[in-house]
Amino acid sequence: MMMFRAGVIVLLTTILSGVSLPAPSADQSEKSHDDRHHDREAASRVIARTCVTCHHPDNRDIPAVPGDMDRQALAARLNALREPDETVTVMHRLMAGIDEEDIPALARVLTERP
Amino acid sequence: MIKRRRFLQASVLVPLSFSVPGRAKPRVVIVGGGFGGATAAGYIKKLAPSAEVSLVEPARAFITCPFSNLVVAGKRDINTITFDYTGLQAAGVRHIATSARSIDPKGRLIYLESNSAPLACDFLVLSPGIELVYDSIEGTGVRTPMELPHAWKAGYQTLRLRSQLEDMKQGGVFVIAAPDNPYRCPPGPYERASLVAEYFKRHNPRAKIIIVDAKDNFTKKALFQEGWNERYPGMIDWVPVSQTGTLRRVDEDKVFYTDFDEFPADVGNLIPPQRAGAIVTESGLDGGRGWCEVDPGNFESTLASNVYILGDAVNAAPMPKSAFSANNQAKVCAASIAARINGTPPLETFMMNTCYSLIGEDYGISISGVYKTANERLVAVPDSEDTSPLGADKAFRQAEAKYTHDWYRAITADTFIANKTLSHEAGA
Repeated sequence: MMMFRAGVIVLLTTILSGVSLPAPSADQSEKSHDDRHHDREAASRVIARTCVTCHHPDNRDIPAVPGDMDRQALAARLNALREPDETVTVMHRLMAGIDEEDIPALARVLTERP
Repeated sequence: MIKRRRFLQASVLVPLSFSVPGRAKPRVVIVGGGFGGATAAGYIKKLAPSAEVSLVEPARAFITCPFSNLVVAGKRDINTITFDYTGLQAAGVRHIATSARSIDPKGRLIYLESNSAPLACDFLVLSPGIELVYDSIEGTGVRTPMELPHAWKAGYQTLRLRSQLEDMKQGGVFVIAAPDNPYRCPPGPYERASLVAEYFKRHNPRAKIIIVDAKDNFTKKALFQEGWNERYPGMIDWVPVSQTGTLRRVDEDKVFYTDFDEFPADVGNLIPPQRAGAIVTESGLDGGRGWCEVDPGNFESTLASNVYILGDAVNAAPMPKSAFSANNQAKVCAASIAARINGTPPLETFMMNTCYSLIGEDYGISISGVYKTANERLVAVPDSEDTSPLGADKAFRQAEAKYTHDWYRAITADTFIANKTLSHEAGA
């Protein structure tokens, strides 16, 4: 575990903090690009909160997320987990429940710094 | 069902008005400090810091059912599965260390054992766990949990079953009576049989374990049986209901009587049928059905508005009644309550569950699933619900055993905001 940098130690902790959402538009059917972006991000925070249950609020455990991964690398890794190698136990099953289009925002939420 | 739609349409996206003079803070009361209640308390406080969050729980510390089978099997000390509420208190949750005697769901009032004036709140979250129901089994009474400990609520019962197993004569018979679905922790009876078998293999090698089951199938059955054949051949006998019939009676000599058989036990573990905790059934929130129906979008009761119910007490099928489910349900509920307090849009439900089970200390298996709402019902996402493979090698089972321990450390830290350092070497 020593190999994981402090950067990712804070990674899951940030998920636990409050979400600042934009003021919603009056007409939900005519959302701006920004609103859709924020909806996607809010949804990703909901998904990210489920990660904590196994990976620990400090990301100490089941430490399959290398600490120096940036957003793109994490997104690529998450997508790669859909097709497991022999070292993957449950993640491919859980990834089956996450839409591919949610991955970029999820990776962003998981790698953001406070 | 209709309620959810109405809620979404009617979502006027401004903060709810808490305009009682002299009290600006929205009040949230959570009843029950297990995985559902403790997680809800911590996450509501995090996501809606303006809320006044109170957790009503008589115990000073919670002893987890997950890993209590390791205590039953003598692999862990009970202190290593005990978590107090100081982490939640430091995060701003008020722990009211008394029992809720009754509730008024309409008025959102909580009557406490220690106080004649009820607590009032804007949002009431109930996570009462289960009540054990012995009615259907003849010969049971107040002494039954002492003589045939269920050990299905962790604590004294866990230690009692442990000491009976330690005192069991060489070559004795340990009978586990497993209930029909639905019940808390579907793989629990089979993990218990496995870990006790591992204990017997060293300390009581001629002992037998008989599982008298009210079902013809159980979760991860093929995986458990593969592990039993490999690790404990001939020690565990699983007897399904189609073979033996229903458990009808027990007696003071620890004999279990089914329709067709008698199973005399040296140590008996009677895990009876269950229903939602008394506080919700007595207030009618189970609709007389034994388990509570909720809106899967936010876990609000279908029978009372602004009253939320979590965890084992809820019919959340296809999610199993597990600590993981309760923890994830609590996060969905917390996000929904926080959204209402903060005036932000409601969010889609997304939950996971993984039930790890230990067949031996270094032999883990799992079942997992991802759960969302579709047509206002809770559904498992296709292909997400599956188990570990049959016939996997030793390294794979060892990895899942390690992940079982890692998961336990993670979920308890997440739920109780605990900083406890727990290694799987810790314990008795």
